Amino acid sequence: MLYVYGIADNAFEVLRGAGLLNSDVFAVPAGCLAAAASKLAQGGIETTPQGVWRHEQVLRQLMQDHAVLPLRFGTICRDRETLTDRLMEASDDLVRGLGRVRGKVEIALRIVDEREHEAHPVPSETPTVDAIGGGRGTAYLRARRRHHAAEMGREARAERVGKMLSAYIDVGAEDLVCSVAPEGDHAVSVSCLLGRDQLATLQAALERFQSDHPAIGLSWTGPWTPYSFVAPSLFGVGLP
Amino acid sequence: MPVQTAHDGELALADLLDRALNKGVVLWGDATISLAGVELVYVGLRVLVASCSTMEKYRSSPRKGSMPIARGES
Repeated sequence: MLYVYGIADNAFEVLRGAGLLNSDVFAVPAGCLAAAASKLAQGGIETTPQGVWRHEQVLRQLMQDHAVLPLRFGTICRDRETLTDRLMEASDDLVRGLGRVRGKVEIALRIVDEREHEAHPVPSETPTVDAIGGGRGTAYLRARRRHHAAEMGREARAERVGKMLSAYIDVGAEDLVCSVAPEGDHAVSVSCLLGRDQLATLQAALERFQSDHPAIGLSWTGPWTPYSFVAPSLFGVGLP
Repeated sequence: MPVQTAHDGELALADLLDRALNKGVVLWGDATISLAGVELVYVGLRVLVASCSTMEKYRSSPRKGSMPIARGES
């Protein structure tokens, strides 16, 4: 059984002890591509924060010399042949995906506008039928309408933040993804894909943004492997 | 450059979990969940995330006027 970290644009030297539970990470070649994998240890997958960090560290190490598509944490495969067959099947999509992220990293931003809290409060939870009272059918529809309105409000908020940021950050619209977590989280999460050489420029842009909008809370982490800019449905399968 | 604080590790971990567990390429939907033990893996991860309530609280309330950069491990 293999644990698979990601897909690189070509083969690479073995990364000794870099994988989960200090396993070696090796390339499983498939045409011009290579999956980064390690033998699944007796203890299975390391389901701890350290395990997830390990997964990320392997990908970062590969990204120093390769374009890399990150796989979701916890991906395992029966054997090399199965893995190679899968990669060959989706080779065209993978090459396209690698082309999009080559030389780029993901930055995670989190933005809270206190004024938005006051102007557009988001219900902390979806109202239940019992809480509203009245006929059950009417109450259900009211609850659905309020829930829908809250969703629309979150989407509108994410869009507003996206427009504000795009005036400062020089990336294409497809490389800036904004979303608001459902149910009570007022923060807008932003994922931004940009070149490694643009990080200093981004820092300066965010400082300008902060200076122009002192009422807005802003934090960011990264650089990350570009998880948010690969299509989960790349292979036409449902999510687990 | 802003000073890194003790909270930066938690924020970075939250962002990493959000990405590594919810995003990234899914190689195969059915095979992954049909293999023995993997369901337990996902249950384990949910428990892990659920236990990070403090972290989640922090995520939803970034500090004003700060831009922590968390590059390292927690």
